Formats: sequence, C-alpha cells, structure tokens
Amino acid sequence: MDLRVGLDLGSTAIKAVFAESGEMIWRGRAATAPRQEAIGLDLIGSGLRELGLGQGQKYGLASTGYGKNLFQAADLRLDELSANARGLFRLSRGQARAAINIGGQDLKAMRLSEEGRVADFRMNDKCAAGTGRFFELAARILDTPLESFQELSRVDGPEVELSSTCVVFAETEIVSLLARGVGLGPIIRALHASVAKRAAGLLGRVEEAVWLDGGPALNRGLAEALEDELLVEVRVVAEPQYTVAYGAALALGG
Amino acid sequence: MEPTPQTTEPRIALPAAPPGDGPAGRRAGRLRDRAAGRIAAEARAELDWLSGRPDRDPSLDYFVELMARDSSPAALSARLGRKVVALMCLQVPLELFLALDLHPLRLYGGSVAAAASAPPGLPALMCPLLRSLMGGMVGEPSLAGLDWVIPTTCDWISGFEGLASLYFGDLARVRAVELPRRKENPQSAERWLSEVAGLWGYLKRISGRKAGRRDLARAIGDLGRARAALGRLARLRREGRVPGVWFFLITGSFFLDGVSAWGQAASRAADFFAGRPPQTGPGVFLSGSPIVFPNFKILHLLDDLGYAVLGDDMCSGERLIGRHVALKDRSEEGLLAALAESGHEGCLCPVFVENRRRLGPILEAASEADVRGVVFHLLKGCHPYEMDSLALERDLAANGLRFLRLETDYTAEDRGSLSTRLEAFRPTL
Repeated sequence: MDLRVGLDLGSTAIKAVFAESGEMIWRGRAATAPRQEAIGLDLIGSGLRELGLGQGQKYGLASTGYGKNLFQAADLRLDELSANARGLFRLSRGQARAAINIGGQDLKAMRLSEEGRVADFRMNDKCAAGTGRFFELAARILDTPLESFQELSRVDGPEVELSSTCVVFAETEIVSLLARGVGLGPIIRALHASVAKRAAGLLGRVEEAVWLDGGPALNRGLAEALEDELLVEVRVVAEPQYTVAYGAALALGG
Repeated sequence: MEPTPQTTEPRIALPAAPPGDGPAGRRAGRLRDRAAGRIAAEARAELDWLSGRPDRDPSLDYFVELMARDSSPAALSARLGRKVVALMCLQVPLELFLALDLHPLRLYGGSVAAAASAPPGLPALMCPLLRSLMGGMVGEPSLAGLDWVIPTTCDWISGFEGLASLYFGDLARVRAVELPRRKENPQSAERWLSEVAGLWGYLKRISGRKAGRRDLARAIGDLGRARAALGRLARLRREGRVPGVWFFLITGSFFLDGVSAWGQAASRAADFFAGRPPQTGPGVFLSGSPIVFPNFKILHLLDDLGYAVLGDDMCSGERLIGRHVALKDRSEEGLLAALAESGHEGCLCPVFVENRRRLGPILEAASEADVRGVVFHLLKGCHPYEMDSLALERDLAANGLRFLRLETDYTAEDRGSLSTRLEAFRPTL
C-alpha cells in the first residue's frame, strides 16, 4: 500500500489527510493546542485505526502550516501556499487558476499556473481582518455558532454595512448595530461582505471562476458575498478545509 | 531656520529628563536605565549571533566592535575628537560636515527594545524608525542636546521635531533643510542649492571654523574613497559573495567612525569576500523601507531560506554609496553645487514626485546579476514606501521581475508568517 499522509498544522486546527494513489481516502482534524506533534500523531493513529490499518503501517509524511517545523517525523515540509495549490488543483480537476484561502490567521489570494503551481500570491499583512479569527470573534460577540452563519445570512432585514475591516473596530461596530436593534441576519451579511471585499482586494481583477477554500468556505453565504464582490463565479470544493493537508500529501509524489 | 534656544522644561512628560533627587527624576532615571539596558542587550544578542556565523572573518571584527561600542554622542565625540551633529536622512551632502571636522551621526532606530521604550502616547501607527529613535532617546537623553540637521523628507521626519519636543523638551538646536519634492524643474534645483548653501553656512557657524574649497575637496576625496570601498562590496554582493547580514552590518556602522578608517575596514572586508564562494540560492534585490541594525529579521529569514541578497536600494544600504559627484567648477560655490546636485538627483527616497526612477537601479542590478525577484520590505506606518510599492510592482512585472511585499514591524512574532511568504515566493522565481 502506497500511503501518503499530509498534515496541515494551522493556527486553529490541525488537519490530516491520507492519500493512496493520489486519492483522498481519510481525513480528520483536531483543534490546535500545545504539543502539536502529539496531536498530529494522534490524528494519524485515528486514521490508521479507522482505515483498518496496523500502527506499523508504513507511510510517507508531509507537514505544512505554521507548525510544520514542529513535526520532526515529517519526510517533507512545505509552505502552505504550495500545498494549497497542489490540493486545490487536484480537487478542482485541474480547473483552478485563481483561489482564495481563508485560514485561521491568514487570508491568501493565489493565482495558479497551468501545472497547478503557485504562480503569484498575496497574503493579508499583520492584520486579522478577513481571516477565520475575524469570524470567530464575530461569532462570540453575536453569541451565535459559526455553523449558523450561512442560514442566518439569508434572513431578511435592513441592509447594514461594516465600514471597518479592522477586527477591533468591526467589533465596536457590531456592538453598535446590536444596540440599535439590528438583527443577526443583516449583521452576518455585512460581515460576509466585509471579508469578501478584503479578499477581493487581495486577489485583484479576475475573469475566471475563483475557488474558495479553508474552513470558512463551508459557509455558502460567504461565497455568495464574494461572488457579489468579484462578479465571477465562486466555486467551493468538497471538504474545503482539507485542501492544504491533501496538497501536502500529494507533494510527496506518487 | 536659525537655531532655536534650548528649552529645558518638557511640556508633557519627563521620561527622559536627567535623574534628580525627586520622584520624577528617580522615575526618569529608572526609565533611562531600563531602556538603555534592553537596547544594549538586543544589540549584543544580534552581534553574538553574527559573531557565531561560520563566515565570520577577522576583517569583519572591526564592524562588530564598532556596533558594540558606546556610541553615545559624548563617547563618539571623545573617540573621534570632533563635535557630533545629529542627522536624519541622507539627502544633505555629508561632505559639508566632514569639511568642517564635524561628525554626522545619522539617527534612526532599528531596535524593538527601543521602540518598546518609547514614550507613551505616540501615534499607534507610527514610523517604526522614529518610534525606535524616540525610545533610544529615553535611554540616551543627551541626544536631545545635540545640534540636529533634519531634511524635510517624509511627513514623519518633518514632524519629528514637534513630536520629540512633547516628550524631551525642545531639541537643543535644529536646522531643517527643506527638500524640494520635484527634481525635474530648474527651480527645485535652485531651491535645493540655496538650502545646501544655507546649511553650509550654518555648519560653519556651529563648528566655529572657517572652511573653503580645499576643505570641501578634501572631504569629497575622503568620502569618495570610503564610498568606493562600499561600491566594491556592492559589486561583490552582485556576485553573491557578500551575505545580506554582513553588508547591512557594514553599512549600519558607517556613522560610528571616521570615514577614512571605516573605508579602509570596508576595503579589507571586500578583500575577504572576494575570496569567498558565491551563494547559490535564488538571487533577490531588497527594496523598500530601510533595514536598520539590529532589526535584521528579514535578512535572517532570507539567509535561513537560502536566498542570496544581490543588491538593495535602501538608504541604510547601497544608497550610502551615493551618486558620483561631478566636479566641473572647483570653486567653493561650484563644489557646493556639485554636492547639492549629487544628493538631490541621486536620491531614490519615495517622497519625490517623479519616482519611476526607482526602477532603474533594480533593472541595472538585474542586468548585472542573477536577480530573479524583488523583496519589498515595508515597515508598517511607512506610507511613502507603501504607495511607492504599488507602481513599482507593476513596473517590475512589466520587466519580468517577480515582486513580494513584506509588511512588518520590529517585533519577532511575525517571523512565521513572513517565512511562509518567502517560502512560497521561492518556487515562483
């Protein structure tokens, strides 16, 4: 069995993907915490068990993400943009040429080459605007789980705007909107629009479809806001939070 | 502008006031000692790291030791036997100072410890160079008592005197040198020459010396030799033989000794690097906000990731070489005119209106060396460079050069995200 494991040690979650002959056969995630190497190994152990493989099963291991250098056992370490490009290119069946990835603390806009490699990229600078952290903060202030954002964003209500992309100022604005009696639906739509504007600014003008991945891509309301901003189709692969780990596994070859 | 009288009464706070017997004085003394201690420790850590590098050579000891020395105005003045004058920005001809046996001490900060020691209440999004400088002034209050020459380059520099006066009292004596922001019209050149001539007169007064064409010619020669040594180092760097950290350590120590001694040391360093094998990693050109010792974060990351820094256009780096001084008229006025023209025309600071010339040195370096991309170091709060970077990116793309903008400050916490960008940049080159 030619088993390859990709581990994405991100700022909010550690994701593992098992691939065999280039196909994703298992995926799992755990919250980021101290002792990331142990968490990663636990995830791999879970994968092996669930696939019915023995703990002695041989596999290649690639690590990526901010914690990649913590994982001493890795055969390959690569940056998450390169891993992202590989994973997304494969999952999009070679169609992706422009992509936005929303991570826990990063917002990345990327152009892919015909071969599925990073051709150009931009990332948010020292600022949490438009990142997963931004959504987490908003969820806390709104006392609403992130999983409900998509559904709530479809609830009617007056259009409002978050004028600041700064997380700290946006928090103030959200509190003000709540104090004015504005409902959750319009506030969440404004949040989506704010993040979409930020992401679109990083990506620049595009003519082709844009692929959105990272955990927040599960929220279709965000993808729709991005379509409104970019004026092109925004596509989301299945399991968008695993593209980077999958790309790391693919980078091992085979 | 004539010298302002010294005011000893700070207006708001007393963080840098000389320690006295009262509670305020004792507090100021503690702040000063704490800042000075932290700044020194940070510099020492960087120098220890440099000293431990395998490519450390005895020819580089001079620069390491210069950085490690006490460079307070009093110590520097005693060491060099000259009056020290504070200088911000490079546009004014350094030859004017040297001709009068004055020592220009360029003041900007690269220390995160100094930035953290800066007085409270400064603007949140402030130029890190000046925040660090103000923290340095907390640790070394005598800086406020120097004669200051301040070219009016960016808004931060132009407003520095007012900002500093809030915390340190009025700077003892300030000579602002107004920089025309258009280079292309003759009126600007005339205005700049008038400013330079005015500065020459001012420096004569504060030095108490009479000087003329012979002194200017001597200074042009002395500085020219030092700059030639730096030029040789820059050429060796084009070949990949001079790591970025050493190059910036050498340029960063420029104002800490006499130019002749520094130039001789730079020549010895060039002899050493000429015998070194070239670095083999992808070549990049560094542009943007100045990299100032000990904030070598970007240089370390580039080094760690196997990049070879083949050139830069920073005022803390290669721009010290300056533009050739064309000596046509050797009268005092003629020499002043040549120096003024050299400083103004050769300056690539983003504060100028016509700034597409910034592209020239990068393309020239790319034609001389295997430069595959440009890493643009943008200090958060440095708006002129931020604006400049957008057009530069477009122009570089039109010339087939890759571009990576790294916005950062002096803290170490973003090393991970900067590293991610640089790792991802490499395969695109």
